[in-house]
Amino acid sequence: MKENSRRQITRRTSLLAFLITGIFIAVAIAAPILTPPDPESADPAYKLVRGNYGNQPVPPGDVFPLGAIPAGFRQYLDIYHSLIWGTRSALQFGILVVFFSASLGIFIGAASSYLGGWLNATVMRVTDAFLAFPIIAGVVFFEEIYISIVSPGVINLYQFEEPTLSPIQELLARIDPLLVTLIFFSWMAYARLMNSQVLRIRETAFVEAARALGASPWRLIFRHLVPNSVSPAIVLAARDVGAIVLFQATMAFIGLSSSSPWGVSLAAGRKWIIGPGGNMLRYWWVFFPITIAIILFGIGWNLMGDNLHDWLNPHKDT
Amino acid sequence: MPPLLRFIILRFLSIPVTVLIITMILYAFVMITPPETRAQLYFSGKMPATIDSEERIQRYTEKIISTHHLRDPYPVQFLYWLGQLLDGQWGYSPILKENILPALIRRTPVTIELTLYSLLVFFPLGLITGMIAGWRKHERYDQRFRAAAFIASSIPMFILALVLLDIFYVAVYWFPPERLSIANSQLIISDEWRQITGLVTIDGLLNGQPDVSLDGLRHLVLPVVTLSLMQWATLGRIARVSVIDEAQKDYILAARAHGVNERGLLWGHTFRNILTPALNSTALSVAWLVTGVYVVEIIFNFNGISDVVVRGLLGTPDASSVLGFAIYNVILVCLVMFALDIIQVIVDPRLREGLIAK
Repeated sequence: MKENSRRQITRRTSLLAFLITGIFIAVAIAAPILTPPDPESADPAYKLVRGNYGNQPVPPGDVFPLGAIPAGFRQYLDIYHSLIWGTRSALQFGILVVFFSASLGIFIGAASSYLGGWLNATVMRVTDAFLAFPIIAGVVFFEEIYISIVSPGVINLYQFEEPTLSPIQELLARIDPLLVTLIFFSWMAYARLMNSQVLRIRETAFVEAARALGASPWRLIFRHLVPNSVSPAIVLAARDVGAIVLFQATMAFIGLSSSSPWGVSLAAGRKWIIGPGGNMLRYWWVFFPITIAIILFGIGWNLMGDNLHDWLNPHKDT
Repeated sequence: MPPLLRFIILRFLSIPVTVLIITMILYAFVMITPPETRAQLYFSGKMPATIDSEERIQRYTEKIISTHHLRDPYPVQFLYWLGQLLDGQWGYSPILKENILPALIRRTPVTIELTLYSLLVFFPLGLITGMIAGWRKHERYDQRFRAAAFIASSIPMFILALVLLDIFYVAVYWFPPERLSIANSQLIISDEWRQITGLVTIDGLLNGQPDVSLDGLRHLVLPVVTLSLMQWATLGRIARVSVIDEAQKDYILAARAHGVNERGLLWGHTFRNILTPALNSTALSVAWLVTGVYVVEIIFNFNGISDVVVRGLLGTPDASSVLGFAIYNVILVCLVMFALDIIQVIVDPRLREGLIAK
């Protein structure tokens, strides 16, 4: 009886996980249909509408389905547009970061534990060193490097010539610094996970058999060790998508990044979130829809992680 | 040598190794920038006053580049720079108008105070709620706990902070933002104030002015709540999973067969055993905690350590403060991780006696 009700709950949450993430993915794909980008805008994620609607946030209506925030002289930022295109950007960002950091971590963890010995000890020492690095320090650090490459005139107050960039600099200048930071500083959890998993199965009979049959180290790692130990990393990756998007929005809100339309729009409406006299419902449309989207995004991917966990480890009961 | 002492010494020696690895990586990235930018790391406070024309600036930069070997290969440059760091010269920040190391040290107590009070709130709370949830796996309490933890870890901290400010500051004026009220923040920088620990809540009592402590506490409530909510969710989940793992072990079965009641099983038997995994996971996520602390500091306008870089990013960025901030934080995180590891060894007799390796 108890077991039965548990199954039902699992089924319900898994349905919920697919529903939430499915809606987000559908919205992300259909973004250009739901709200066509502004041809004049440099970034399709934002739509600025000219007009005169006063100095206060414009309530939802015919022109703006979810209202708008004043942004500059007689310009209004469409919240509905930011919400829809923000979904697209968030999904892209989250999946990109998780894909690269997980691949990096899985590769490092698996390869080093396969090789073992002092090499593994060294690699794990470096991994632990990375764990001691707060990601916010990485964000400001990369931002700084990025600025100094893209516009040395700003950082180097006394030099204003056009910079000539080396290939590495050129590449870095084109990528979002937050993306680089997050990939560079979030692979450690995957590496540690893979490391402990691979160490456990390295000496098992099937690996021994494959080695005896003459499998190359690469084949051993990618065909035998990784597929048999990757499931916890996949669970972690699903949960990370939500966490990374939340972090991206947070960094955008405090002004350390500009890559999240959700975060940027919330920051634009910051002074109206605290409404007059402490009535935050006065301009609810400024923050409510986007906040709900962020929370649902996080919950959806977290549930997805739980789902994958149950699915990949049917015997383990947590 | 007793195993505990041996462990402490060995563990302590790993801190410089970590810092060395991180500085090596950071400097490798600094190498991407042109030498003129790197020269900034060696600018001193006297520079802006004496240098006015472009030609003299270039000469000054050239001089720095040659004296500090900034055109040499990476290992040479790195060692010269490392020597400078060890010497305590972390560079001059043109925005703060002072050397970066003292600026960082001066702001540290603010951050420590915030972190400490949050720790006092979320650590016991997360541990207890998570343990109960794990013990009553899949019951109603557990489902509520998991739902609450999901939501808590998905709420954007900055929106929560603003909503709390809206209710408790603007509407009812209980808990204002910033670190202290204006009068008291004037007081603590005046000569009458003896700074002992740097934590206003404790210094207030030591100075015989409990009203300042009270003011400090009032200002701490909202940041602590904001920070704790997220950390509670993380720790609570760790505690929950640890209890579920532990509950399947034989000693629990044995204790239950002996007739120990459920409460005794959980608090008397399981509790001690999950402290180790819980502390271990906490130690691994200290860097995330630090990031969260800075976000809260920035939102609530606490002038803690993060102040150094936030100011830098608003105006002209300066390389020394960003690099100094990064290295200082790595050292801080290492020290906290070290402390947590030591607590773990003291709490767990198996580790303490060196019976099992950590």
